[in-house]
Amino acid sequence: MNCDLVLAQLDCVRPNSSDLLLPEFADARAHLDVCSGCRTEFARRQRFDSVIVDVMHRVPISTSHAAKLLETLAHTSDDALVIVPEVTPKVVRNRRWLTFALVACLLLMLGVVFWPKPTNQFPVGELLARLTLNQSQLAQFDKGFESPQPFEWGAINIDGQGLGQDIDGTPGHDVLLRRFHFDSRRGHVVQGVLVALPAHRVSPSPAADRFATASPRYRTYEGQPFAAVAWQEGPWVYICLIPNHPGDLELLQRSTQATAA
Amino acid sequence: MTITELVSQHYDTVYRLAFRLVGTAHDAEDIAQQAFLDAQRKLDTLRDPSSAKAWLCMIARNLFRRKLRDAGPAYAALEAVPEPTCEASPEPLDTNSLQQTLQQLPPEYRTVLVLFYFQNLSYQQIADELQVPIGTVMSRLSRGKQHLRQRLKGEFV
Repeated sequence: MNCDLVLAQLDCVRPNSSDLLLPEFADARAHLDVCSGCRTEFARRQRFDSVIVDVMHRVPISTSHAAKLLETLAHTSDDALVIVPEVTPKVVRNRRWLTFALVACLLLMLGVVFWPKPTNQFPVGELLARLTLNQSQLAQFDKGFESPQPFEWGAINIDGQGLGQDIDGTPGHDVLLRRFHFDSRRGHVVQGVLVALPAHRVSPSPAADRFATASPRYRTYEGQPFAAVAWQEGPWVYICLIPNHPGDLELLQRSTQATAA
Repeated sequence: MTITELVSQHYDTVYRLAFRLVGTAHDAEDIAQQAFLDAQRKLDTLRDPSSAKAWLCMIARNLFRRKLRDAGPAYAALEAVPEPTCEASPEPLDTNSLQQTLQQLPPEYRTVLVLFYFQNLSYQQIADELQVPIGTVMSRLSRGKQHLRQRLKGEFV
């Protein structure tokens, strides 16, 4: 492959990412293996890109404008701060309808008092937003549920002691967080956090039913970027959080597949 | 999710994106304000709160494109941007020199670079967002980055 063409193609590789491992860059990777000039130039361009990414975000912001914006939004519409379903009052002309409505309200009130309260459920996205890795906000797990282990994680070392977090403000821990580490054959150690909770607390359920095939999302905790994958195995939903080092998540997913095989 | 929460969590990101696209604080504030006003009207269309940031950024980018259309004639092609006439500054790269260099680019190149560097979108995601062919995105990325490297090379030789 022509060096100029290879370098132009490699301009699409994001810095500090695993983009270079994508199939469409296979020929470019093969060229880099044999061309030291392109390897040097590609590395230089990736360093340049990293600096650009850093500077790109350094934009000073006037905090007063955000405050003025909130005032403008408040004045734009009195009930616009919270979206609630509109309730259109209807004029009741028929006494039978009034009697029916009163009975229905009475039954509803009795139901609220006597029926068990539904357990709070969360979609995975909201769970990720509510999770914290700040130890000051976590406590020793109260063992409100057992501590499960994912099926293909036999070769991964999960800390026995776990921490619990209350997600929904009701008494008791809703999620269990445990640190883990995995010693790869290349001597590299992958570390992260495994979150577990009963599957009935998650709705809709994660699409993946195995760790190896779960697709990553990206979040920041304590200022550090993480890759997160969620999957369900039977009565448990797991979320694996790995600091965003390129390839660590893929390495762990491949390793669990190999172990299962 | 309330509009107040959206502003608290995402104002900085939306403003910074707008600034990188339009280049001035005044215009960036206009776009950021209008983006949240539009978001307030369309809040019920946001199904997944975890995608709020991407949704707001898309609204801001659409406002930027509308602003360009309203501004009138198309910008010059990339070839019309003059080559640098002096050595690139040996001073460390700062946010102002980056923005000046971005502003020299036609908006279609600037947009692609901002999506790549600021929002960390892959070239395929950029193509989907802008609804242009992947080859077009690859070409604009390559040529846009070449422009940045030529003008900011003092720091990276």
